[in-house]
Amino acid sequence: MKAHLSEQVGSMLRVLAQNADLICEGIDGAVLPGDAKRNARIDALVTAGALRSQDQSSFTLNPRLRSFVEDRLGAFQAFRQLTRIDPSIRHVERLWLEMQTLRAERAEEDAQLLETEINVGLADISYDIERNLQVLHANISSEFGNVSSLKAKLRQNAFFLGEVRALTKSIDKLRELADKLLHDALLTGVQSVEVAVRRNVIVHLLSWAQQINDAQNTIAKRLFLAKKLQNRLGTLSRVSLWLRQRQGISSEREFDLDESFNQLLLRPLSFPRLSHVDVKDVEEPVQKALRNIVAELKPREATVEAGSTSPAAQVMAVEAEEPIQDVIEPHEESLLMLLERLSTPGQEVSLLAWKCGDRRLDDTHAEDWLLYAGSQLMGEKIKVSHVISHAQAEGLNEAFVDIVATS
Amino acid sequence: MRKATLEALLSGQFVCPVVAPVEFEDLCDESTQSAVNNWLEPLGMRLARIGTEGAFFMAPDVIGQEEVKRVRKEMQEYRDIYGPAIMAIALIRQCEADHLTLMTGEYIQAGAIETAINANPALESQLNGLGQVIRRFALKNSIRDRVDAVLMHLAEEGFLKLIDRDRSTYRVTGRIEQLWAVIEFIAENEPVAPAQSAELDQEDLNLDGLASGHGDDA
Repeated sequence: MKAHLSEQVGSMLRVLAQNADLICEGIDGAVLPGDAKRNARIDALVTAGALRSQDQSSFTLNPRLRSFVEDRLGAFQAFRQLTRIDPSIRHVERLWLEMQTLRAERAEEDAQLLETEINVGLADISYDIERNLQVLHANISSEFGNVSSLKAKLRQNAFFLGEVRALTKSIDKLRELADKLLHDALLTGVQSVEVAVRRNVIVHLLSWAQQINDAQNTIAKRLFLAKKLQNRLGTLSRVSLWLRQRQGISSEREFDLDESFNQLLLRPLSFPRLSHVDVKDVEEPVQKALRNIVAELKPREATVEAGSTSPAAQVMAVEAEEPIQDVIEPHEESLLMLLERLSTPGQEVSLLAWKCGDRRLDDTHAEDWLLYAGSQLMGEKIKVSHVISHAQAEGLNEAFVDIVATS
Repeated sequence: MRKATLEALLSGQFVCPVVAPVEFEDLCDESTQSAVNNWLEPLGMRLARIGTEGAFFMAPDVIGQEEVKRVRKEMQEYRDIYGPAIMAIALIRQCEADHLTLMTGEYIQAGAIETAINANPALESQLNGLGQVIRRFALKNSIRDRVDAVLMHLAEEGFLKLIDRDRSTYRVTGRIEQLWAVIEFIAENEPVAPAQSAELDQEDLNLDGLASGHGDDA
């Protein structure tokens, strides 16, 4: 019997493995018929119970198989309902009562069968709770990634909050049943049930309660935030519309505010920072840093850069490069010689005669020389006397023809 | 405490994971928070945080008349200070209504907004309405250039951060919470149209006794 069952399971799994691509199609949606070979493979899957005929022209995956795949991969559809464990709890409770009755009637064989059934039922409940927690975890961690719009996320969040609350109540019922079974099993000496209750329920209860509590808190918080967010976005639309309608209308109004305003309204100001180097700091690191700074300084440029457009700068550059040198003109040189001559006391020199005797004054007019040298000698406090021309003495002005300097 | 952390706060930044991830991480440490407060206290300031997971910022230690006066003046001029940003984010939100919630860290792509505006002339009209208040916005420019100008304006104001120049991709910064506070203030104090019944009522907000967490202290 057992060998026959194994053979059947093996054969079924082989069919599934050989047509894995069609099963993948079934996960995504309906499987459609095609050529003869494809249709034969679909028939094989239908025979194995993996596909079910939806209508004349399409097939769907066995929901149990889909559920198994989803459980394994943690890819759950949106609004996936958590598995209800209340019926399973009631079923186990009923089995226990029935087993007690059978024991009272001394129908040991039937009671043994029910005992096995109770153990399986408790394991199933444990599995379903774990699976429910997995569904919750997958949805929470992906932030309800199986829907995209905010509103759908919001609805799904609210949906799961309801599901979690129902699951919490079911677990409370399960706790009561577990306590009762444990108590009765100890009294009646049904050790296998006692072990099954401990192994499948008691040891997990605390962990389940914590996980459900966390999930409930997270979902409630997210629902709160999502609703708050939705409210915010509505406010944004209304305020923006109001601002657009009032564009161009200039009006300022003073708001009545006190110290209790929302601090986020206060824009943070910056504190200006300005630091200086303390050059008197004798610490070696500071001094070293200062030396490095000085070493990196570029030497001051001596002249103005070429191409400067400032005329003033250009003049300064010329002055800097070509300083004006004292050039002694011939008449000045001659005057210096004359002064040297007159430095000796008792000398009397005719300036006209001096001009004639000095070749440096060849290009200088006699009149210019007399005017220039006469005024310069007077400036040097040397006595000068003008030699008047008697031939022209009748005019208003007396004309001189020479100047005589006397030291 | 890192030097950059204190500098960011003193410069008036909202330190969030988008704008300054390293400094934000630093401020999450309680010893850093304590050290920062030791620095800020003599300045009459303190470290503040938006909610329990939001951006850090520097706030006055005590709200006095000076602060009240400053806020009153800023709110008096809110249309000039915040108006352009509010209208800009409302437009962006309308362009990506199904996906965008304008929360810190969200991505905004100029390309997606441009596509939405191309498909809806009403949105283009709304975009053009921003021309008077957005810098570098010229009606003669292409829709993409105008969208870029709007996003750049928001980035300059500190509400977005440019993360990919080639694709004009931005991220919403923690400072957006300040803008939300201003929006709520306007809605409460100006004769803005009332919320529709579909929007949230207070009973929903009090779900499971959870309290509002805006502007909580760090």
